[in-house]
This record gives sequence, structure tokens and C-alpha cells, in this order.
Amino acid sequence: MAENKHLKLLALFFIALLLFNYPIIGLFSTTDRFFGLPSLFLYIFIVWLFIILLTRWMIASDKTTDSDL
Amino acid sequence: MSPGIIITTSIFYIGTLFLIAYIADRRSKMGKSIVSNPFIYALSLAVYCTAWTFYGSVGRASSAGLGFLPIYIGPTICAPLWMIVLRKIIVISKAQRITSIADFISSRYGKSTFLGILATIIAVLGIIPYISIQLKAIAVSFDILLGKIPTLTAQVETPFYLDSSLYIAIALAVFSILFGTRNLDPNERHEGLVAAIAFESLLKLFAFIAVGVFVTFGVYKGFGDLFNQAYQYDTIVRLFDFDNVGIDSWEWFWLVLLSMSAILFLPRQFHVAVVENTDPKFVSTASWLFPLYLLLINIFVIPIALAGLMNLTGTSYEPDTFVLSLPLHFGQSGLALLAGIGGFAAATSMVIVAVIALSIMISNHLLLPSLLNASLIKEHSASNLSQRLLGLRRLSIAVVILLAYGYFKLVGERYTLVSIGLISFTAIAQFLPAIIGGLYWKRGTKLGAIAGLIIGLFTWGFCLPFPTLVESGIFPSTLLETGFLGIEWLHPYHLFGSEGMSTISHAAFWSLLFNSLAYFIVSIYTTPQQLEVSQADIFVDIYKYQYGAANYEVMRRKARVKDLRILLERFLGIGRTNQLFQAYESTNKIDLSSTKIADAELVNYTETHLAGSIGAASAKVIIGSVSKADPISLEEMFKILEQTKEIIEYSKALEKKSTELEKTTLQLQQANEQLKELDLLKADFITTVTHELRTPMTSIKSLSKIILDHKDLPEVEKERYLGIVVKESERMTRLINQVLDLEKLQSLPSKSTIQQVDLKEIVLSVEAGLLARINRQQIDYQTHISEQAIPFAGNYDQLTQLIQNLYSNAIKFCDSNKGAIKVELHALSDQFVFSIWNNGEPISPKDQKLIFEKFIQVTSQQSGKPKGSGLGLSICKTIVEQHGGTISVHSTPSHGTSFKVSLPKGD
Repeated sequence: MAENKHLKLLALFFIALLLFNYPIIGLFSTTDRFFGLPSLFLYIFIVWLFIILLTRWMIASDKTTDSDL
Repeated sequence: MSPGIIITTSIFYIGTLFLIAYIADRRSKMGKSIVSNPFIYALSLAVYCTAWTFYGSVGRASSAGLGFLPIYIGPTICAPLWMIVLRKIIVISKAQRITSIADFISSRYGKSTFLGILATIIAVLGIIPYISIQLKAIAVSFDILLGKIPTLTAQVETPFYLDSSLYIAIALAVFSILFGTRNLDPNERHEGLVAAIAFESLLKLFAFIAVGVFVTFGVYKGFGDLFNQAYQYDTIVRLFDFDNVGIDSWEWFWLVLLSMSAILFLPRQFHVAVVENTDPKFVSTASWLFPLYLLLINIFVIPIALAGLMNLTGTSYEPDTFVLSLPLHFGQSGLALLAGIGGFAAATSMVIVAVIALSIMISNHLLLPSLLNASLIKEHSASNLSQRLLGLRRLSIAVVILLAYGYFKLVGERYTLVSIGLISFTAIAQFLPAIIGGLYWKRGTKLGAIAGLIIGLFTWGFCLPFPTLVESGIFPSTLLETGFLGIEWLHPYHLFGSEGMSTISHAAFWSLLFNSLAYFIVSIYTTPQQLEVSQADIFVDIYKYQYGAANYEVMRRKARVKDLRILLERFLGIGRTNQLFQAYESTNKIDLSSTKIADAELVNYTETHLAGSIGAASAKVIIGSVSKADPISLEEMFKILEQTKEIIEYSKALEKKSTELEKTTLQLQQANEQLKELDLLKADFITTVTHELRTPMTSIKSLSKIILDHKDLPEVEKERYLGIVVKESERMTRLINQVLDLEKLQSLPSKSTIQQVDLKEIVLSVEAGLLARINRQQIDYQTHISEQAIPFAGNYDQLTQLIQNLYSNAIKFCDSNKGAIKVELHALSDQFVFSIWNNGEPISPKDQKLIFEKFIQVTSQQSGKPKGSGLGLSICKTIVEQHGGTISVHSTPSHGTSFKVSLPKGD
């Protein structure tokens, strides 16, 4: 279980690394606006929140193995 | 704003911090820690957000748009990994009583004193510019609140005794000393400090959001309105395209990487995240709560920056001060004061934790080893070394802050907060290869780490701080035109002629490249010492050792108990020493006062506790001065242990196997003997049977031949011969029938043919059939047969055969001259008994046992020839058993032989 959780967190790390780096960041680096906000501003904060929620969800999902890590 | 209000507020604020620290310390002593809590832990990590965040982010955003964000995105990206990496570091540090990041590196590579010094130097050199920008931020924020608009020239011309930043530096030094060095905690934990830091984290977040909300929703009508207005300015619109602000994928990547290492390896981050950690489990909460904190404190950076650009461009306010100057510009002096306190909180929390972390390193790794000589340790003066150690700490704090102030006056004022902060980040990133390698690669050696750190330090120094000194006029400015010593490819911004990188990504790339390569290559080509191997094993496989790691004997050392006691008293004080020794005595159930020589365990115990105050390397040196070492590498020891265990298990398994084998062998032997016996019996039987068959066969053949050949044989003779042929054929038939009978009996024990029979009738009918033969042989025949009928439920044919066989046997084996047979048949209370006795040759006891087995023939002692077929009694036994009865034989030389059949009375 601990191994499994480690893998999940590792995957999340790589997802975050991908979403928060070029070339994906570059796609949003324009002066266009969505909902009145600059696209990059909107993108970064939404992904940020998404990663926080995902981390929290993964950690909460199996508390039982917490001590085995 | 009047200076009075600002000073009063500051003093009030500092008073509040002390109160919080005091309460937290008291609660901690009572065992009701308020700091031991995942939320406080996450908040204490927010010491990451300094004046750089509070003021500098807005400044950076004003010129680079979202380019300020990598510093906060890096920690967010690696936060999911904390559960793996940070947790491991914490578990290791608790087991090894690590006091700082320098201690961690030194411990990992064999408790190397030199590595401790090197890591301390890197940390101090790297962090001093960082502290200096906090001083700058506090000084500037005070000036702005006082209504002075700071300009470069004004600062430089101020005589030092009128310079507010000097007094701020002194105040911070005093503050740090009071917080961090009140006593020498054996674990370097300061709960009061952590509580104050957590409070400051909340305060700076609150203050920054307050300003952000005011600007976004007070000055403008929300995000939409603010961005709409901002997009009127072309200068602002262009900020949102990275191509316009000098950020490309390379720059972005390196900033993210630097911040990923900074969040854990900055000395102050390591201090709060690892040294002050009270429970590794808190990491799970922090790994989402801390990124959330970062998100919240960054969400208003762009709005504040845009508002500043729209409203304050053209004034002399620098973008770095927008957080303060915007509220002032819109007449909100109260909010400005709150923002000032928020910034003060951000700067002070950083400075306090950073200087405490650095002072621990400096005193443990730089000052102590040089003071550690045998005379100091062994002299029996009453001077308490722990007091001296605290003195060293205080001195270190003062020196660090003074150096930071010096750097600030010398160069800091020319640079923005962010650019100087990044210089520090790049320095700290030099720890990355040695630490990550140390955590996951056992092969990493001390020399590899030293090589990596040295080359990294020099590359960093040459590419980043050195040019700042050049620009400050300390070195000739021609260096930046022609390169170092006039060599073009030794240009601090263009090493080897590389182009197209910012100074930071340029320095980060080259320093980390050289550092990692040196670490990797030197590690491969050097052999680690024993202590390095054992430490590497503990660090990489910490979860294997997690429980009771401190108890493993790394070194088999011996020392005098008295010496150990004196050492501990020097560093920890008499009270604490007595406590530790008592604890040791009670857990190990020994009396140390009567022990002269301490064993390895006590030596290690002393070293671990000493390491908690003065670092692993120093503790090793000190203990080394009073003990005799006989090192065994832990890995070696474990190998030995494992081998022994394996051997024991193996021999146990072997033993088990051999007993099993013995058993099987015995069984096999028995089976084999039985088989051999059976084989013998069968061979005998076949011999007998064929012999038996051959005898009649021979006579049948020869007589038939005579009849065939002599056609003229007289009729009488012919008839006689034919009579013999018939008789012999019958004998053969009988023999064959017996063999078949036995097989049939054993293959189908038929119950279907059970019927009511009279045993008496059976016996009498058999007797009638044989009477002629008995009389012919002149046998003395007597019977005692029950007068009543004896009813029994059984198979008539089988029972007849049983009696027949027994009669035949008796007739066959009774004395050939004066034969005698006695037959009895009775009904007892619960069974019927039939017995038949003859006076023939006795059966030996050995044969009595075998007589009922198949193919057994009793060899006559006189003739040496068997008389029977070997099947008769076997058939009898089978029949009797199938009727639930028993058959037995009794034979003695003087009394002849009798067979007794007992059949149970049916219900």
C-alpha cells in the first residue's frame, strides 16, 4: 500500500512538473484574456489549486498506511 | 506617519512575539505542546516567504509579469514528493540527532569534519546576501512609512550611526539571540521560536491579503475591472507574454529547479522542516497546506503590481515598495502600517530562523572543531562548556548579521530583492547532488561530496557574487568586458562562451553540472571508509533501521565512565548529565557508579546525545579523544548477523530434513525387508506350487504316454492308470481352485450370501466326507460336539471350506504312524468355538506367527519338504475374519498342535 501511495505521489509530481513547465506554460503565455483574466494567470492558479486538491485527496485516501511510509 | 507610532507598534509587535514564544515554551515544558501540530508545522514552513515574497514579488511582477512565480511553483511541484523525501530526511535526522543541513551532509559522509566546515561555508556565504535583503526591506519599509522616499544617493551618504538599517540589524541580532540561544537544547528544538514563526506566517499572509483585497475590491471593482483598466496600457499588456519579459523555457526551468531545492535545503527551511519537526506524520498535512499558503499569498501579487504600475508610475516609489506605497497613496495609513508589520514579520522570521540555523552550523562545525583539543576537554576546570557554547552561538549570530549588514551597505542596495535572493538559492542548490545522492545512492563517497561542493561553490562564487562585487567597484570593471585574467571564456556571465542565458540560469546550469559530475565521478573512483559505508547504509536504508537506530553499535569503543560523564557535564550541564545517566542506568539495569570502563553502547549513547548539541562531527572528535576505537562497519556487522542467522536457519532446516530422512529411511528399510521377505515367500511359493503341479503332471504325462504307446495293455492295468490320472488331475484342480478361492475371497467379501446356517451340521457333513480317509489312515479320532444345533449367520460354502481346510490340515499333519485328532464344537455365552487338535509335528513359535500368511508353508523338520500348498490357512483366516471371528494356533512339542476358531454370536 505504501508503495502504491508513493507511486501515486510520484506520478503527481511528474504531472505537476509537466503542467508547470514549458512547453505547456508557453501555450498560455499570451496576452489573450479569458473571463477578463490573462490566460496564463488563470491557467497557473487553476492548475495550482488542482494539484493542491489532488495531493490532499491522495494523502487522505489511505491514511492507514501513513505510518508505514 | 510619526516615528513614535512606528516604533511603538514595532515594540508592541516584538513584545507579542516574545509572549507567544514564552507561552509555547511553557506549554512545551508542561508536556502540552501547542507546536506539535501539523498546522503549526505547515505555517512554520512558510518562513520561506520572506520580504522577498512580501515586497519583492510585486516588484518582480511589475517588470516580468508572472515571471515572479517559479519561486513558488517549484515548492508546489515537489510538495507531493515530501512524503517520500522530506519524511526520509526527518526520520534519518531524528535517529542521528541532526542539528543542521551541514550536520546532515557531514553525517551522511562518515561524520566528516571537513564536509561540515565546507557545507557551513557554503550556507553562510549563500545566506548572507539573503539576510542583507531582509535588512534592506525593513529599512526601506520604515523609511516609506516615515514618509521619506528612499533614493540610492540618500542612503549611501547617510553616516552609519544615523542609518536606520544598522539599528535594525542590531535589534534583529538581539532578538535572535534572545530567541535562539536561551538554553542549549539537546535536540536543538525551540518550540517558542516555532510558535512565533507560525504566528508571523499568519500575520504576513493576513497583511498581504488585506492589501490585495483593498487594491482589488477597494480601489477597483474586482479582478475584472482591474484587468480591464490595466489592459488599456500597452506596457502592462505586454507583461503577460513571457517572450516580452525575457523569460524562456530555460530560465523558467532553472528557477523552478532552484526553488525546489531551496524549499528543503535552505538552512532555515531545513531547520523548521527537519530539526524543529516533532512528528514525521505532519509532513502529509504540510504537503498540501503549504502549497495552499503559497497560492493564497501570491494571488494578489499581480493585482497589486498592476495597480502600482497604473497609479504610481512616474513617482519615485520603486515597484518593490508598492505593497506599502499603494495604501499610503490612497490615504490608508492604517493599512499601510499593517502592511509594514506584515513585511516586518516576513523579514524578521526569516532573519531569526536563518541566523539561528547558521549559528548552530558555525559554532558546531567551524568554531568547535578548532577549539576541540585534548587539553580543553580533559582539563578539570569548573568552567561549564555549555555556557561557552552558548557564547559561541551568540557571537556567531552577531557576526552573521553584521556580515549581512556589510554586504547590504556594500552591494545590496544596488540590486532588487529578487535578484539577490536568487544568488542565495543558487548557492544552496549546490547541496542538491550531495543530499539526494546521499539519500538514495550508497556509493556516494565523502571525497565525491567534497569535490562536488567545492567545484560548485567556486563556480557559483565566480558566476554570481563575484560580478556583483565587480559592479560595486571592488574589482576592476574590465573583468566583465574581457573575462577573468583577460581570458574570454572565463567570463562570469558567459562561461566557455555560452550565450543566451540569464545570469542566474547560467550560474545554476554550470555550477550544478560541474558539481554533479564531480560528485558522481569522484564517488565512483574513490573507496569509502568504514564509517562512511555504515552511515551510507543507515541513510539510504533508514526504514530498515527505523526502530532503535541509535542502538546499533557502529563503533566498538571503550572509554572510562568518568571521562564520559565529565564530557557530558561540560556540554550539557550537571543536571542534564545526571538525568541522562540515570535514564541509561534504568533502561540497561546497570550501576554506572561501580563501573569503570564504559562499553560501546554507553559510548555511543553519550555521542548521540552530545551530537544533539554540538553536531555529529564534533561529537565524534570529542568522544574520539577519550575512547579507544575498534571500528566495525555496520554493514559488515549486519552481514555477519545475517549470515549467522542464515546458517542457523539452514542447519535447523537440515536437522529437520535429516530426521525426516531418518524416518523415511527406516520406513523404507522396513518396507524393503518386507518386500524382500515377500519376494522370498513368493519365490518359495512358486517353487512349491510348480513342484506340486509338476508331481501330478509328471505322473499324468507318463501314465498317459504308457496307455498311448502300449495299445495292448491289459484292460485292468489301463483302468488303474486312468484312475491315477483322474486322481492326479483332481489334485491339480484342487490346488488351482485353492489359489483361485483365495483371490476371490479377498477381492469380494460378499455379504450377500449370508444366511442362517448350523455350524454343527457343517462340521458333521465335513466329517462325514472325510471319515473314510480317517479310518483308512487308522487315526485315533475323537469329537466333542455340542448336542444342540449351533445357528450362525454366515456363508455356508465358505464355512464349509473353513472346516474342510482345518480337517485336511489335521489329517495331513497328524502323526503318520499313530495319528490322533480331536475336534470340539461349543457354544459359549458370547461366541462359538471350534477347535481341532492333532498330534503331529509341532509348529515352531516363529512359524506360528507366519502360518496364517499367504504362501507360508511349514517345512517339515523330518522330511525337509513342505506338505501343503501354503494357502489353506490363509484362506481360513480370511474366512474367519470376514465373519468377524478370530483364528489362533497353539502348538507345543509335547502336546501337539491345535487350531481354535472363535466366531461371535450374532445379535
